[in-house]
Amino acid sequence: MFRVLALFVAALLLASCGGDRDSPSPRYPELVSFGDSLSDVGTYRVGTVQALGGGRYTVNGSSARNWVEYVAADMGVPDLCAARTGLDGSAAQGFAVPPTSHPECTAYGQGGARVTNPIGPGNKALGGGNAILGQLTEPVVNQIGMHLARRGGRFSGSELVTILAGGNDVFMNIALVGSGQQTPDQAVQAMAVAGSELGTLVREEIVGRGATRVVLLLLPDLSASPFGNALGPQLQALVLQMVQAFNASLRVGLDLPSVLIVDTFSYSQDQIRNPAQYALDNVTVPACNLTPAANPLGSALICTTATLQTGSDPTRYLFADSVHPTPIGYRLTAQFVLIRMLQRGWR
Amino acid sequence: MTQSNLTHKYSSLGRVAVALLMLGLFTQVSDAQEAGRWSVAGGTAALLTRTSSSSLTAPSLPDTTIELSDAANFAVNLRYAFTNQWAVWLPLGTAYRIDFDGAGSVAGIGKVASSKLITPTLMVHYFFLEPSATFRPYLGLGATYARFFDESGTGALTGITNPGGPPTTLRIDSAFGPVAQIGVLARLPDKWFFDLSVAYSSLKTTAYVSTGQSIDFSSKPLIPVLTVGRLF
Repeated sequence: MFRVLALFVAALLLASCGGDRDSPSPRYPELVSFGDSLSDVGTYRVGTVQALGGGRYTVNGSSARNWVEYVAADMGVPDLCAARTGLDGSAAQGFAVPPTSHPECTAYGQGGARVTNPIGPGNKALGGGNAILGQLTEPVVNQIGMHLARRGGRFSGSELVTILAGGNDVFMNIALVGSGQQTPDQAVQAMAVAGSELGTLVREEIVGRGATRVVLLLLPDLSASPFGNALGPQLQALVLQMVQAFNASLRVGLDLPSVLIVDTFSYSQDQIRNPAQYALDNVTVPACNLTPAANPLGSALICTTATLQTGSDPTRYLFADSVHPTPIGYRLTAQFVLIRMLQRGWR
Repeated sequence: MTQSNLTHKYSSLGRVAVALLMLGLFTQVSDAQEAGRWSVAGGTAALLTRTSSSSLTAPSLPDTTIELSDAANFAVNLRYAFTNQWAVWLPLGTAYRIDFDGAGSVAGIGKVASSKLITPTLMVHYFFLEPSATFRPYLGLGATYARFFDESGTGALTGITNPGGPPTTLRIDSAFGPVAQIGVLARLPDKWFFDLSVAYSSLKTTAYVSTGQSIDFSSKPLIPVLTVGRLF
């Protein structure tokens, strides 16, 4: 009855003037992102990568974005640009471009980057094909350090910070298991350590240095990706364990008002279990043609709309290569992140 | 025209007036809801929307649903009694303004859309008791046409459907629904009355989002209406 009376009163007040209850969204002067290839907006868009139309780990094209760029665009912050660009690979093949810092750019994510270990996938120290491409793989700990060095050791507190990392620690550690240099238990333990290190970085070097809006994405379930599917059941199960160990130790101590943990782990599993819910037709096969003739690197880094697998529709496929999403996959992740941000009152 | 003719005319008018007055004094029919009388009443109607919604079509988070806000308007209602028991009722009023909030798995994201809504309605009322009764309960049955217009999406809607893209818009299908109503007229002096009623309806419609998605929702609204009216 109270409610009805209140409505009558509200009618008297509102009907003539038409009030708007749209709450104002927080505005961020900038978005600062840390992480790996999933958050890389073009660190390696130089030399031959640029010449091939690549630069993002997805189906590159005029409208392609990764998840953090979709979030930035939605927030209305200036377009993201890579904080560092360059490659340290083969000069003969156009993959040697001296690294350059871009002080005005705050997208620090780099393909191949790990949490603290400086040698990630694509780093020339690994030899072979890695030495040809020569990804910088500056780890998240260095990325944060670079930002702090630029800003006098502090976050302003008004920026939006995003972090997504850990995938490359999985790839490196599972490779060590495959080559017999590490036991499965050691691999799981290594991931727990990496997760803990990232959690500590978030707590001490990001929140502890003034950031108040930190969006931390959990590591997606890589065991359910085409990469995971190709490993065989035992290693695939191990990857799942490794991802879970990473996420479990990452979250410890991060139940903070300034940290929003987004469960992109469960979300990635749901996408693969219920593709129709996400308007996806294919969640198992890469959309890119990854044969050497079409894609000498076998990576989404140089995949474009012109080098797709015959018959694949990138708007209906989740994966561009064995681990990286298509632009649609990234957009779905961004939508999920935005839902969580809206619920937290951060958007 | 002669003087006597005029006198005669006035006196017969006087007799009619006296007769009408006496009728009114002894039966009070002249300010009651009875056959052949119009009434106009003004006040407000609350729309308690009581929504349930299906999930937004793909691509969406499972259980992405909506909830409609309640609303109220300024109401002007016309009634014509064609017998002492039966009347037709035409409620008019200003448009409701409805907010659509995220619900289900997206509860807490806030407003995703808003729309104006008019509900042209026609009802037949059956009145109990005699027209002279102080309180006259009534039942109503009729139909309404819910027409949504001026729909607009919020930034949150764009964020969850097409982040970074052009603002997501929407349109909502209009819908017919049956209406049942109970109410009571309370007589006041000098042809005035209070009219308090509660109507119930059931409507189903669909909102179409510019991203090609859609969401079905239904409402079983309760509509309390409180007006003060006058007979003519």
